[in-house]
Amino acid sequence: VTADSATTEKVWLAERQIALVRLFVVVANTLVYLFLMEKAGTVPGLAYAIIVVAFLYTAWVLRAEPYRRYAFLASSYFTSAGDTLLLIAWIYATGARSSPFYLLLYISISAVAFRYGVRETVAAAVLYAASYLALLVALGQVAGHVAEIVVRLAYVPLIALLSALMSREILRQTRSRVEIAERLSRETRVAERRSRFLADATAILTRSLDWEEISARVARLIVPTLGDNCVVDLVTSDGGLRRMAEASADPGKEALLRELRAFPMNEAEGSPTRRALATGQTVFIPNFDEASLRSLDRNDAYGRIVRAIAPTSSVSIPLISRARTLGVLTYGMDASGRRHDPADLALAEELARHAALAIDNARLYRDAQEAITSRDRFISIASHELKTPLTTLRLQAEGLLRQMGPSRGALDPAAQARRLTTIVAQTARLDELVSQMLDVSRISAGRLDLNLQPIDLGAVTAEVVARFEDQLSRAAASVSVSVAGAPVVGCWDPMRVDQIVTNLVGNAIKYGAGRPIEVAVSAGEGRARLVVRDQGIGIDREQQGRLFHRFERLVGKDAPGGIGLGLWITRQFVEAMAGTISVESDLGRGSTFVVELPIARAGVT
Amino acid sequence: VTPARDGRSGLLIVDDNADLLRTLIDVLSDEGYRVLAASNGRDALAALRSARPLPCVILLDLAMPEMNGEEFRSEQLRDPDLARIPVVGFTADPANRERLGAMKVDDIVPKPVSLDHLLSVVERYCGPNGDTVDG
Repeated sequence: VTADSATTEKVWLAERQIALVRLFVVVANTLVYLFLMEKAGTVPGLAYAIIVVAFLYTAWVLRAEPYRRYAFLASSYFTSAGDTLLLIAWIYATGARSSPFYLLLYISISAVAFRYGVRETVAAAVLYAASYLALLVALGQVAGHVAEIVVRLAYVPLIALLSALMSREILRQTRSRVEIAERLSRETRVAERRSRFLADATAILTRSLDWEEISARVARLIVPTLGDNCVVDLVTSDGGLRRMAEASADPGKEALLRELRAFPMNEAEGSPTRRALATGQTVFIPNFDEASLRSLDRNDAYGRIVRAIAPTSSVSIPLISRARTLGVLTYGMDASGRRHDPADLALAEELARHAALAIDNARLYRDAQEAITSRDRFISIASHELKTPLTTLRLQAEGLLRQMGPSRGALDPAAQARRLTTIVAQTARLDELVSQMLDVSRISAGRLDLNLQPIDLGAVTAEVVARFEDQLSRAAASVSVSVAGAPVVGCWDPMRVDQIVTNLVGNAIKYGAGRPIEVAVSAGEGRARLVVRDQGIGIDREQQGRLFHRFERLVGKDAPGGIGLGLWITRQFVEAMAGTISVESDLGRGSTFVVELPIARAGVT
Repeated sequence: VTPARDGRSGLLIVDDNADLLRTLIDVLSDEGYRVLAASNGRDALAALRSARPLPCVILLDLAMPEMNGEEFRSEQLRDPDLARIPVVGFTADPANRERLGAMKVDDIVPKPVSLDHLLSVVERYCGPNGDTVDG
């Protein structure tokens, strides 16, 4: 509508200019005629009347705005007819065949050809030629001048044709020039908008190191510039998806989107989000139909909410940084019915790249913070743990020194030996703690070198249990070792296997409440199995999941000593040898730890 | 009359580390103190309730299974008889000072501690060595 009215406006302005030109031509011709004839008296009175009519006609065209009052075509025929009348009357008034003003026919037909289409031009040409011929016939001026009249008439369509061709060419060139200019300016505007949008986006996204906040900002950037609705889902540490943010141009729909959070994300297999996550490619659904809606359906309640939002299209872009998919940005249109143009899709993908980078940064920052916190905690726990044996060591040594001083009765040899043994035990404990710390730093740095060689798991277990004899007699506990069938021999690192068994048996004694402990070694299905069962305090079911994590001393801060690293180190060793470790336990009823190591590894060294 | 002046009172040491407990008994017995030992708060309370006369000081670890130092201290303060016994916190972690402050302990001894320091603290509450030897 806008373009049409603009066109009409232009045509009307042109018409006014033509009317003025026409008036100018009539007046100029009159003056030329008067000047050439040098006989003002011979000008017929009709010529003056026509000049007056031409003035009035022009004034009417200028004032009456015919293009607003009549249809375009009607108006063009009307003006052609008016022009014809004026021209023929003028030619008649200035001598008909002998009038030099028949040339006005050519100017006028040229103007028509420029202003109107083929049909109007043909009509005007016929009208002009017929009217001129009719005038000459009526005045009986044809005889003896036929050739001259035919040439004059033939020029009318010829000039019309030339003018029409010229006008078409001028129009074509103008149009293409205008189009190029418009396209360039549109492209410039789009490019400017894009770069401004991305610059703003980057500034906004890099302002935070919290990925939830970043997700919310991405959603706010998408809506409403690129879409009506937007949600951001991020991959969690266990590989699932978690909704991080939602935004909608309609606050009511935003509330509906938030309601979707109540539905677990991992059920929606085959949804566009899932597909984008799996393929790492943008999934674009230009027409969100019933089938697409069904792909989201998880249950009736979910379906109802999605149908209330009524999406008409969707774009799911994976958030990829450092070749890892961190999540999916999904946006789309609804009632607005807007289309996604390819430039917008590219812009959204660019935004997704920026967002992924910001989220990745936030993650890296979090990981670094956690690593620092974890190391600080480790150093703190480890140094406290070192202080207990140091206290014992120092007091015992100073006590013995004091006893050796003057005015002291000598200790009997047995007491001396016992107290020195305590000192030795402390150095052993310190050694163990320092080794654990070194193991942790080696594992953390990924420098756990295995020295694989064939060993007998049963023999190692018996050896470890024998080493605990002292501690067992003090704890008044017993350990029974059973080996089922033939010796269980595999290719493992003897030191690590020793540490694994030591840790598990040590724990069983520490937390075994003095009740009998069973250790069983067996083999089957290519795997060696070590089972350590105690009947002690047991482990809360909830806590079992965290058991093999670093620093998890489950019984809490007040449990028997230890850095809380033993089981974590054990798991690292087991996994380094491609094995598994698991626990079954009930609070107050003891724990059973099961380690499985592949025997087939024997061939690998 | 503080328990320390009672010729027959001793110390109570509460710590879950068996080696440390044994060592404290060794070095304090060497100096002629009578030493009661418990490896957690619950045992310590039981020992206190049957101990007559009451100990002159309690050397208390914080981190222990079953009943920790804080729980022990609040139980102790609830019993008017036991509440009068001074308590010395025994900790490896300087960060525990706040925790010990909240427990209103009378003194704090860091781990590790020199024997001289330990003896001077014990002497402050129980008098010089030898006086309280109970055989």
